[in-house]
Amino acid sequence: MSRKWDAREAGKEVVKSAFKKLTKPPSFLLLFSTIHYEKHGGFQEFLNGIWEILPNGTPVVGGTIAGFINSNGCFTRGAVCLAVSYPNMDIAVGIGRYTKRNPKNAAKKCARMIKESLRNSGYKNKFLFEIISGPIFPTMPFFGEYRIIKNKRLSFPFALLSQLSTSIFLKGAARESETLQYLSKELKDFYILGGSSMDDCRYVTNYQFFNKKFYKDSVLALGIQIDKRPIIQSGSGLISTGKNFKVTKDMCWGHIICSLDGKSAVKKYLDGVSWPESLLDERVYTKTIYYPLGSIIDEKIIIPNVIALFVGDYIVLAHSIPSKEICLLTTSGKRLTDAVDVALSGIQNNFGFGVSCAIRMQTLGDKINIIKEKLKEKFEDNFLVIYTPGESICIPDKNLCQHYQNTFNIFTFQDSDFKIE
Amino acid sequence: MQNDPIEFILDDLLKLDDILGCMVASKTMISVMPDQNKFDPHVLELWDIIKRAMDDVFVVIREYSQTGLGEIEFRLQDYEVLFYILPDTENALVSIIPALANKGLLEVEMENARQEIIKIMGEKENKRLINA
Repeated sequence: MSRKWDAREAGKEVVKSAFKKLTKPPSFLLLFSTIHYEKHGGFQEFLNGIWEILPNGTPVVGGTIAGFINSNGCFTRGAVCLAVSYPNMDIAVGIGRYTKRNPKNAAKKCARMIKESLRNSGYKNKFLFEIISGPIFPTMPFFGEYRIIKNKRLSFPFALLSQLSTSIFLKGAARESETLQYLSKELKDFYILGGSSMDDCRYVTNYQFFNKKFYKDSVLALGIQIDKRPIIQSGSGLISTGKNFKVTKDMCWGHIICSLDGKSAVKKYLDGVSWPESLLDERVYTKTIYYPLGSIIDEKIIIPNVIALFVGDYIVLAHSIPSKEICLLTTSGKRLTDAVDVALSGIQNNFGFGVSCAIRMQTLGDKINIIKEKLKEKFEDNFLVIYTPGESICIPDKNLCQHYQNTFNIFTFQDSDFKIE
Repeated sequence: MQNDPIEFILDDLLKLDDILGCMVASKTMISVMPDQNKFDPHVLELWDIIKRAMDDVFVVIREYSQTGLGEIEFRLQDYEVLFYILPDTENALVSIIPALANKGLLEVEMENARQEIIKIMGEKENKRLINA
């Protein structure tokens, strides 16, 4: 990892430090950084630094994230990578562009690159790590800088402009759920773990890293066929309050809920949490993170979804709702940290790579160190958890494939003995 | 010219967009403060009132720092002031941030800075004891 401020220096250091633990050149590199290098040299310089050290031809996939935890600590500034060297696997990388405009095309292009490169692989276990460009708050004429819009008459124009902004200017909803569904349709038997790229929770910009270049608004993937079985385990710490609603109108590919049970979505939400309307100020989002909504699928799977914005009568969500049946969830700091124990339970391994929700980092603040201690106890020095605005999980054996939020997910290979930086 | 390693840590914090000002201080004095020119100009405009409020908080810190008081914060106009107390001292790492900043992410780096400062202070104390 690197904590250097200069983009190029950080790029060099992050690879150098990873190489210290490798005895052979890496088979691939997953590369992550916080958004800060945008203003301290830029991401091309960051990648130039990486490639000063990294052997030519090494597959690189990654992006900007809110923060990360490794054995050195918890960080919301810096760069980190996961370099893996292992002989019994085949590797492929894929990229598809303009996910916000056309997630189907982007996912298909990305998936086909992976399939094509791995078609002759003899290893039966398939795993894919993907990173999708995350949501960006669109800047809109007449709306100015907004954190909350109370004027109910602006609800519909906002939703309409939001949809247009996403399609035309590629600023708005990330459409990760759709992208993931198309990816998994093409790559049916792959275990998938992924996340979205983001900045420091301002949702102004985000970048994806693919080999020697950086991109915006793309889906990137690293596909692996390997002799070891992938394991993905999750925990959320969210519980249902028992209050259920039906989405009666939504817009923007399910990212905006207009009405619940035929009434104003915001009014129904406030009734559900028993908050007065006066609580709807710019600080309300420090409270809503404890009361996310959950889409109910097949009466048993709950997909958490954090509230991104209140706009008049409408609720803007961080990712789309996969079901019209939703419930009000709740959590606490203790439940969030206990969820890590659930995800780690039963794992008998010395290596873990995790993707968790940046909202959890935002909620726990410096208490996120509790999670670091749990990871250290389980994996000693061999772990990395990245914090992103949403988490993608596909487990073919369980017929499960969803884009989540507010979860903690850990990935490992059965009986692996990897050492990571 | 910087000589104090703690000043480097504070300079690092100040490079974060939402850290508008920071220092290591106690009730009686500001122990380490980066170049005030690096502070947000709006914070400097309000500095007198922020400083007065801080002094009052340090009374509480002095009273309770020995009993495990970890952090205190207060909101004043459009700003929040975070105090990360350095254990067993009356000193705190103090940061001024916008009231609507993503505090959770900043807290992670505040804690990292506090741990580094504690380490440096420990090393200084060890040197002092050896030289005594």
